[in-house]
Amino acid sequence: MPLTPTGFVHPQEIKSAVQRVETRFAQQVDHINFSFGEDWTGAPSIFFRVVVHDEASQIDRLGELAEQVSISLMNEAKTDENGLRAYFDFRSVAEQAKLQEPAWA
Amino acid sequence: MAFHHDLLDVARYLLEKESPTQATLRRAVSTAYYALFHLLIHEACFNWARPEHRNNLARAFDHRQMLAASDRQQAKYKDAAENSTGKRLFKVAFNFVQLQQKREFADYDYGIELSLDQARVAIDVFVYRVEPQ
Repeated sequence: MPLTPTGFVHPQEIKSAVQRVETRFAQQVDHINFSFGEDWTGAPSIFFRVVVHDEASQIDRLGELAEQVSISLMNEAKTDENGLRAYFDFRSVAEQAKLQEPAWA
Repeated sequence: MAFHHDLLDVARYLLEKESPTQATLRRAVSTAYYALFHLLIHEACFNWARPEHRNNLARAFDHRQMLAASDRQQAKYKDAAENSTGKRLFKVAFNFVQLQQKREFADYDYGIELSLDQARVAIDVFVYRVEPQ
């Protein structure tokens, strides 16, 4: 259970928040993983890894989607209120199939 | 052409190399961050009334302070109305925060394997979306 400036963050609450966002964007998003850590300044951070369906991963569509998913995750997971700086990374299902990185699976 | 545009061209050139390596991909992401960093400095200093002060003013910008400022703006305007000035500010702040951390990974983290798509997203999503319109 990560300790942040505002107290403890319950991973289960974050997990539920992530599931709500996955449901909301089910047409574009395959799944979302996350991990806790520190960013380069040492600030408590949460790193979201968003795997999007291949059709949604085209650059011209991804910009808008990336912003909407990111804002939804920040709001649902209450990252500001929890004292967490939120970071987001996106890749397509096809790319994950090729790279097979466990952190994204 | 402004310096930040040149940097963006360099980032794109690195991406278009026939056989991208971790070195070219990481340099592309890092360069993309600096394109955004210098774009913001350019926009902030360009209208300074006394042109002879602009270079010194530009040197005063600090990565960490810009992150803190972006953090505040991001939180403040996260839910601003679409197409509003607030939303525009959110986009600039959000993309700066994201790209700054990506640069850190690209420059120093041996533990990640940067993919071509991730580098493309860093440049095409996080930089182009904050260009002044």
